[in-house]
Amino acid sequence: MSSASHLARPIDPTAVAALRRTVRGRVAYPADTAYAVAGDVSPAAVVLAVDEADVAAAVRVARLHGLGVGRADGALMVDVARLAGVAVHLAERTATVGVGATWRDVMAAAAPYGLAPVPSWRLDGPVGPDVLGGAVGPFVRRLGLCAEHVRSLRVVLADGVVRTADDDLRHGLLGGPSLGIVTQVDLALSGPAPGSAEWRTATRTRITRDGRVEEVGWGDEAAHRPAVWERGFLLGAGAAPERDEVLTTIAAEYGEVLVDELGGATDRPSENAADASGAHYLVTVRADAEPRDGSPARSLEPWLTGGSLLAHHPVEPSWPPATVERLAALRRRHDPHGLFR
Amino acid sequence: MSDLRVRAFGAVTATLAGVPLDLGGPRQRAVLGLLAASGQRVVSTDRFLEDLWGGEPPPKALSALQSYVSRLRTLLEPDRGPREPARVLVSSSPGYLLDLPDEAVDVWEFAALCRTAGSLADPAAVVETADRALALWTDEPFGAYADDEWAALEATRLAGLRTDLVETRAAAALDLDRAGEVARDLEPHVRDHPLHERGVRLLATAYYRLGRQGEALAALSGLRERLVDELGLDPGPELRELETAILNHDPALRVAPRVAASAPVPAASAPTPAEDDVLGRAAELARLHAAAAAVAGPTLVWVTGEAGIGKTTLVERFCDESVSSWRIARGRCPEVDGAPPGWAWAEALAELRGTAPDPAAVRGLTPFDLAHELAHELQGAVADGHGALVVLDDLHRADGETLQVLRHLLAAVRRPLLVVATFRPDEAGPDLGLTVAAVADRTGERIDLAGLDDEAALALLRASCPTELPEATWAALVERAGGSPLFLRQVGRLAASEGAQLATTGLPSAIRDILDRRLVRLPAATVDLLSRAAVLGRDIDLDLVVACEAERDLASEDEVVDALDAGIVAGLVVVDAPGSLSFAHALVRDALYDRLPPMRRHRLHATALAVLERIAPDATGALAHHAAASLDARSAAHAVPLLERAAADALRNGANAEAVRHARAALAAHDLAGTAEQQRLDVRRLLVQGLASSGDLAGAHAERQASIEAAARWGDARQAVLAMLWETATAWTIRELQRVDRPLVARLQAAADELRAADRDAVDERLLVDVLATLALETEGSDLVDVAEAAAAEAVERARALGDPEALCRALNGAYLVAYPPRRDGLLLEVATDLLAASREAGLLSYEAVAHSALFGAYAGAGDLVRAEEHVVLARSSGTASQLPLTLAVSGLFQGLKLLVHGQVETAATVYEQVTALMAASGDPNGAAMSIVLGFTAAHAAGDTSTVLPGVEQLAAYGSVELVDYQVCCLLDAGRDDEARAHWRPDRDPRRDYFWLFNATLRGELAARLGDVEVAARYEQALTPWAGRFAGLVSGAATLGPVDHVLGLLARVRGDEETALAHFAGAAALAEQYGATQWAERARKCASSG
Repeated sequence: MSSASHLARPIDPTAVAALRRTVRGRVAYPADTAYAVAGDVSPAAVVLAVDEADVAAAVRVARLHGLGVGRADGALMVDVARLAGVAVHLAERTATVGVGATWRDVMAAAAPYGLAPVPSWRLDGPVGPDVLGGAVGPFVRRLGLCAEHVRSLRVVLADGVVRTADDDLRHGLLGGPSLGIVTQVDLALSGPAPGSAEWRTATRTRITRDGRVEEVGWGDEAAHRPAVWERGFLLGAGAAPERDEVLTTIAAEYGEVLVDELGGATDRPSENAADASGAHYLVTVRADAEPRDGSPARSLEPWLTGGSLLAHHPVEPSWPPATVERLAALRRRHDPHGLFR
Repeated sequence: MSDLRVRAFGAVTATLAGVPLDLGGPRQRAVLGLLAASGQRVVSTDRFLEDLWGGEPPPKALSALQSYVSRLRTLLEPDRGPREPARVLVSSSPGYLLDLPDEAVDVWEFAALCRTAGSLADPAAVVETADRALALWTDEPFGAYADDEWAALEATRLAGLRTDLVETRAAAALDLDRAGEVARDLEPHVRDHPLHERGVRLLATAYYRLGRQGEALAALSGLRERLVDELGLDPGPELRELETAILNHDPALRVAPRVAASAPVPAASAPTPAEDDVLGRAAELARLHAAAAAVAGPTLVWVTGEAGIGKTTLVERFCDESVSSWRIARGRCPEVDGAPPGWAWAEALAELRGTAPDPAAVRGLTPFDLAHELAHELQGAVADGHGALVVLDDLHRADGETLQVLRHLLAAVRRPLLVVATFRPDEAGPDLGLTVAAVADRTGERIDLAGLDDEAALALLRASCPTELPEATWAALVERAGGSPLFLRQVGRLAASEGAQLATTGLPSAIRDILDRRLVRLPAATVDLLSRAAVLGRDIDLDLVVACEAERDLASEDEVVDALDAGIVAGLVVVDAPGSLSFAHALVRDALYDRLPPMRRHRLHATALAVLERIAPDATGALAHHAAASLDARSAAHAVPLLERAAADALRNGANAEAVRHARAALAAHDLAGTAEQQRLDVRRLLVQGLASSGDLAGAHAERQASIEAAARWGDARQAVLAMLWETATAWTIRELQRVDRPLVARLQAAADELRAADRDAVDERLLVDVLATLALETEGSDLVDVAEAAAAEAVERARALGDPEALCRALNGAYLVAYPPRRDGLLLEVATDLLAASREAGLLSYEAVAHSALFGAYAGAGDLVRAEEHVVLARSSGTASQLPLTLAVSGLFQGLKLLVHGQVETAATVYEQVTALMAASGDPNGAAMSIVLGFTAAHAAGDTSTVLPGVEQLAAYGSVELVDYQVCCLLDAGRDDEARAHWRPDRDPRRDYFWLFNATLRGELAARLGDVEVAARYEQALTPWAGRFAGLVSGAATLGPVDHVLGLLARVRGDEETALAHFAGAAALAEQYGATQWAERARKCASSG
């Protein structure tokens, strides 16, 4: 990583000065240990934003100095992990949640009011990527994708202004590629209470390397933690025995396979770009290491719906043609110069 | 913010969340219009005055402008809190700007959409974008101000954009095969702009696609005629090619649509701000980068220059260029006294930790701890493969602790570390001078900034003065500024407001006068308030300023915020980071502060003190600063405890100069308050310690004497004893020329006897240890050395029994000074090792430095020059400011000694000369004497001391036996044996101190040469335990070669040739081992001449 960052084009000093003057949070450069949040890419800098204004300031600086914005080589990366505030609005049964807050943070804030969010399986993960990527949670069949419970969201667009997304934009941001940086979401608190029967009995299916098929619930934390490598596939109906055989083979080859049953609430087409209608299962293939050759996509080909959910690391993001057109129009309108990477 | 919309097509209006705002009268409305017409650029206050009042602003215009701005801000941002900075109508020197996104202002959105349309590849997107833009054009832009020049210029520019946009849209629509639409749109356009080639070409192409070939050719030939008739121009090649293509039915004309390209377009939609802060400093920047590239271990780079020359700007730019390879932390030495010691490091530490600077983070840490904390934090904060870059700004203001931490850090860090430190040489105190010398071997580069050259100066001047001035005025300004960027920037701003007038009214030559003149142009209330804020220091703590204003009921919070805002607009106040303000330069702060009459300053400091006591009761330094600045008969009693506490704190933190200042202020407060003398005894002791710690021995002695007298007169028995104590670590004698203060020694002895006789608790026992340790310091190296040895031994024994590491440090410090030869070999090493352990346990860095000095002597004496050198380096890096001069001299002399021992006699002599010259130049009273002693040493090694006789004679006149022996030696070498015998004093022995072995060896040599059998016998006995050693090496400064050589001479005196030869062989072998050929040859010659 270090050698890659040495190769990166140095950032324009006037941009550094601008960041210094306008961003309240820390700005990490390659020599800073805090820069490690960038992982295996080498952005020009990472803004560890502490509030919305920081995000807006970072985007303005990036635009003014010809930098892209995002987790990409040479771009300005904005880390929103510190935007983690949670405020519950009892009357509306909603919570305003910073995208860096975890599901557990939201649960802890909502619990005193007897309310709960509709979470993904990753309770310790941040809410933002889950709702924006259309994550599938334990209550998906009754309540749909996590994204369905977003009432409104605040976003910083390419012009560097924080605003509440209109309906069009919101539908695009929920499940589409990045058109801006979402800073906070209003979530409907319509999930089952932790500890209720529905909560306790929620499960998903796991196929192990040795072909065992088992139901895993909250107790098996390892099953819900992100793996070193994982890819999600939306599968349609048909030819069950044959499909199960393929999944067992994949589990044996890669490590393990998790199956979330969809349907119910997800059958209704969503207005969001995150849409699982038509899919019967979400199959997540997980491995402890980057697999040497390819992905299991080929063997699953017969059942793939063609859709994808970004939160579940699709091999290739894809949307129905109408959605692609909608997203392209949004991109033309809000980010015509492709600021966000 | 997102709901605000400004419209400038037609009248200037604004809506917030769809609700129209009442923007007030035409002039207030024009403020917004002018900002909208200037894009997201700053409009200077001067331009506002010029444009809004048609070139004739009335005297109160600036105040009026400020109130328009203030009212507009309230309208545009109704929810903004009083302290929050304005985010829409933003202050930015030298004026204001409208900080809104393009789409919030219709004329900007129009321009932005025009740019976007021009840069898009997808024709559908181009058409969509262009349509959105054209829909905005509902009326002529700035129509309501069409007669004003500022509006007319912008309106013309926008009209030009519109023309281009219509044509760009047409081209894209043609690609989409929408020729009919294009023909309809372009017909009126071509009528309005008949000479626009591109429009006509597009219209012709559209006609052709529609099958209207004749109209296509008619349009082209019409244009050709107009060009020729009206402009006398031939049509361009593109037009001719199109004509030919139409005539030939070229299939290329039909190729449409273009493939929609999806390649990303570079996001360079707005120009990069071009303000280049470091105009004319490219060479210096390159040197900084070169120094950085050469860094292997800890390295220091100095950037020096006078105030306003651009040190900070240069270093800031260097940092901004280095972020990708260096982890950067910055610390600035506070401009005003009263910040906690080591504050700059607290800032750097906070930046490494990613937290806010916190005085508590450094409070109570010794410089040693702080340096290690920093080293540790650097380890954690710097990614692998990178180095750390620490910037220390304004080091001329650094307190003792800050400098000590710097010296430490450079020794403590093991990874690539680059410290860039700036200071003003003309304001650098002795502590900084010594630090510069002490870290010379870690210094990678020193950049002394001179003034900018004329070209760069002119560029900078023009950048800060948007008004055009006569050539002669520019030249005069450049010449007057002498290349100082601060001067140029300030004079540029002054010129912007006074214009050519400046040349006629005479240009101030001092930066202060320029600042004063700029201040005069601001509303008086604003200047007043800024001046009051300047009392609190260069950094502006808004809470503190507001609280102080409220305390005296001077200005409301709003007024404070407005005044600071006016300061920002005038460029006197800068925003360092969101929410953090400071005066733009120390000189700005000083200019404001100096405007206050002394009596007001006094009252304002009193106010600051009252407020700080309430809101920051732990800021001892700041409290003391304001207490001292507002001292009078009424406040004195209150100030005393504050000043005393600050003095004690500063002393504990190694901030010695501050401790002395606070202690003196406390004594002045005592005088004013008329406190009883007995109450002052404690602070007197602090003063003695502060002076001793900062290296002012004479001052410390004088104050101690005064303290002893005061305690004897007004204090109790215990205070009388305390007043005598010497409580400061010392690697060297504390007495000038080692004279003994006999009455003091007698009193110390009496005090010790009394304490021994009394029933003692732990406190008394500790006092007894201190008395004994002081007694040792007062008698070592004198004829009372037996007293010193006994006192030190007893002190060490009692301190060990007491288990008090600090007391043990003092006792061992005494013991160390009496552990040199002729006492038992190995004793010095033991005492030094114990002192090192005790000082570390007590966390007392000053004693650790003494321990390293002691270890240096011990290893040097044993001939282990490598370890000796290690410890002299450690002594230098851990020493306090007061210890620096000595350790620096010691390490310099050691270099000479090493050369001598390695046989490079001539080079050694040169080094000795240089080092002693430096010592003398720094005011060291021993410098001159050392110079003679070392000259003698070098001459002795060369085999003939007669050359240094004149200097030695001069010094020997003082009568010390050691110097008389030098004289005897010189006379013998000169062949003046009778005179030598006349001076020879067989009855006196040299002092027992670190030079004893040197002097005793010389005395043995002289006894042998003079044939004084009695003295020879005595010295053969005294020197025998030291065989195998270089005489005097333990001093770390000088040597006479192997002791064995003299033992050989002495054995020969009593006719024992066998022993003599053995000694000569030993001397030769020892000398050979180190490469000291001069002594090896001497020994062999003596052996053969027997």
